[in-house]
Amino acid sequence: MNAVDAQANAVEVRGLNKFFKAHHAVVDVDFDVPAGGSLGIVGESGSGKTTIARMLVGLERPTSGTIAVTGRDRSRPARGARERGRRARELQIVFQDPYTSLDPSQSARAAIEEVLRHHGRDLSLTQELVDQVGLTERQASARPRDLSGGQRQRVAIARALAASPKVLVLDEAVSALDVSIQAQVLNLLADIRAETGIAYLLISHDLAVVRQLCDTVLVLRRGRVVEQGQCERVLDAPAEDYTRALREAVPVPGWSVNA
Amino acid sequence: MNSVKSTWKRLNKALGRSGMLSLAFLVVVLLAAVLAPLVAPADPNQSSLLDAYAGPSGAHLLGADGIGRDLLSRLIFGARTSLLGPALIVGVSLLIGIPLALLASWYGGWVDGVVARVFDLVYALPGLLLAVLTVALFGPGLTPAVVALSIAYIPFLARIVRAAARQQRVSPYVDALAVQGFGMLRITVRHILRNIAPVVVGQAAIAFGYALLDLASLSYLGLAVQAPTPDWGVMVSDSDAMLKGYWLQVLAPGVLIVLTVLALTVLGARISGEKPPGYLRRRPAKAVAAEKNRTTVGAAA
Amino acid sequence: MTAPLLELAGLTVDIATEDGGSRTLLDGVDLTLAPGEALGLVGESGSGKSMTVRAITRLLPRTATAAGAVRFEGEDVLTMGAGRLRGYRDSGVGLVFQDPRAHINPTRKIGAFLIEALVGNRKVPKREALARAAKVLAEVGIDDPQRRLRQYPHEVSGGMLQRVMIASVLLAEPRLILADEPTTALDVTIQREVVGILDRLRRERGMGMVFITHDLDLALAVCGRVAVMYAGRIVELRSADTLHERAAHPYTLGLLGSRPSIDARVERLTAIPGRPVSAFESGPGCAFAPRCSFATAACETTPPTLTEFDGGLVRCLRVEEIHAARTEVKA
Repeated sequence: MNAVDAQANAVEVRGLNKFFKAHHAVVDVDFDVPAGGSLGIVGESGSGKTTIARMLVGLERPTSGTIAVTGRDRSRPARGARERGRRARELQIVFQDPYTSLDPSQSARAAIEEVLRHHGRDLSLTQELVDQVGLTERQASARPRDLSGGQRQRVAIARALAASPKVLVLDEAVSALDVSIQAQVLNLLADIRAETGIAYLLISHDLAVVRQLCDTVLVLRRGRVVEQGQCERVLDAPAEDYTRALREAVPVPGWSVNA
Repeated sequence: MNSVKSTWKRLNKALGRSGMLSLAFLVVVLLAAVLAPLVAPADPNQSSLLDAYAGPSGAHLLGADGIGRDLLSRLIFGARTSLLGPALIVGVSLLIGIPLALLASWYGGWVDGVVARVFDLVYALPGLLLAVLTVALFGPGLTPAVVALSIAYIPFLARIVRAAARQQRVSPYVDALAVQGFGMLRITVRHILRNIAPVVVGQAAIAFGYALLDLASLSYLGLAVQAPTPDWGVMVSDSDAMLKGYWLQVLAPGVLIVLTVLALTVLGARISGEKPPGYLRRRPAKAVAAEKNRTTVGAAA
Repeated sequence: MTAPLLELAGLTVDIATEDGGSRTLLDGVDLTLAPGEALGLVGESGSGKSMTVRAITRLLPRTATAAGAVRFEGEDVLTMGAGRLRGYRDSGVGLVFQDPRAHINPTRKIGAFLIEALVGNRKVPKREALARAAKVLAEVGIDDPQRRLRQYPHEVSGGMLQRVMIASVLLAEPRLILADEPTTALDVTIQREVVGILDRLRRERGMGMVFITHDLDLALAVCGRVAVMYAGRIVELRSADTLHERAAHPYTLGLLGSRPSIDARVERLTAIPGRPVSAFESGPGCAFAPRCSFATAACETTPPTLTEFDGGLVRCLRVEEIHAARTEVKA
């Protein structure tokens, strides 16, 4: 990797819009994720956060605006298998529901090997990935239905990492997990970023999770950016009422139920 | 062998008692059909007028028909034609139906709309009527009947495949594969089709049973398999024997048809993951005991 | 001392498996709830918190058996006759579910849903029932209740529907509310409103409440006492305002350390290794022992009992030592 690449933003989004007929799901959204950085996109249901994730990975087509990942545009659908493969090696995603995001008939090992083979990578990396996400031998060979939610999510992370992406989109990836398991996965994700320098884009409704995993945060409401900036600044001294309301709605010690 | 044992155990668990029984019966029928020349005691078309309507005996285990042909041998050879027809029908409809169903479920939108409406249209045509019309145009025989029924059976199989594939299509694992850069062909065949295989196989087994019944009906009417060829449907239509009171001639092939169709239906349902009806299921002993226990507690209170 | 509203004594639930065996889901749960008290049940998957609610209402799966007692105002729910049970479910206890959309008939108007029990079970005239329903809708903070009564469930938001669910519970004027993850499916800002409404109405009407949640901080905010469950047993029970400082069970401590804070990023979350287990998966000793960093050989074999410690109840053999070690570190 040369010096220019290293300094470039991992993700650059400009003037992003997505309209479903009359419904404006995403309106004029701009943001950057620095190489190796970590951005949290926070919002409630209907904020458009998942639509943004789906546009980033190419599952949804933007109505207008540009998306660039590691400097390469992906605002239009990929043409051909080569381009699809290249985009896959730039950015990957981990979904929320560990029960449906794995092929039920594939073991972790098979799923990882399939991806490695597809991207022409060495199959011996399988073991490395299995170890990296903390799966045991036995778990790596088991079908998803024999794994717990946390273990499945580790498989999903390993499968995404098998493409060796520069950016990982985490779409509510820890929301469905038990608290004690969520902590394990959050620690794991922090370790992976420290080891590999991968950039994260975390989609979440959970401000505490965003604070733990992200450097910067973007607050989204009804498809529009409310405010964005460093986590400490936005969460400790919110400039907007909505951000403040979000923050105060999180139960913390001493929190009173009657606002 | 340990692995054989564990496979057996898993099969037993997946299919249950009724499923295993059906499978065993079908294996016997299939073996008889395949090995007919070896297992049949006589030539099915060898007639000996001296034996006409002979009762069961050492020479003819199930007796002989009106022109002295060995009934058991005719049943065994009849399994061949009786199974070949439905196999062709199910094979052809799967070959056409699965790709259409997968395409429709993958692309959705108007592609799905068009395919679904075509399925509905064909589904609305009674298969037997279509077969009768075809036979009227091209003359009686197994081929026109099989062709007509193959078309009629496409929606019966493809509609189920489409519904199952659509369910997989919207699963996040399919999105994850697409994000990995895998193409439509690979995802649908290697992942979606593999995951819905039990549904496809199960439905195919059920379709096989129905096709067997339809073909037998056509043969009974003299529209499909023609007379000297041994075939269960043709044999049931031996009204001469019936009128003369030799009911075994008619009953034996009839029973075989019913049992085969029943076995296929039960097996098909079990393979697609349907639970057997309550009266066929053994309840765990503990729950029964628990219920009794509860009633006593309730009565005491 | 007042008689308890609800009392669970040695509540144990086993469920029969297909192969003829049985699995324990709840193992000797003891709890009391005073009239008007709010108690939180906190736990992860397999902890048995939802099974506890099902046992309290006797809505157990067909293959389950309950032992012990669930006493509501002194009467055992598990052995009630059908008529008494119906009365208890109608006006003794009210249930607020996690997903209101799954529990409200989508083909009937909200008004019809709300008055069904009043008109059907209590023979209240329809006009009066509708008037009462409108009044309660206003109480749960719904504007223009007359219009809402004529709407269908799909025409209103999830937060609104959860308020409708709460309103339906209130209409029966129960003495006890069971709220099973009532806000888990809602956005945080809506969660706050809904929890606030539940709390206010509970206080105003002096109802008891059992609040089930996976979110320890939420339970602490809503309830007076909180019971932490693990593998079908209560492992710690104490008053909400002292739990943060006095938590003594290693599992409670682990839960507190697992949750990231909104105020500051920590270097590393003190995650609990392994995964939560159900009662039937646990060994002869303490169910938490395999995941516990304080566990000794004795923990694996000797089942701990729920004993009084530092103003609460804790189920841990080594609670004294752990507490001593922790205070030492702090000092």
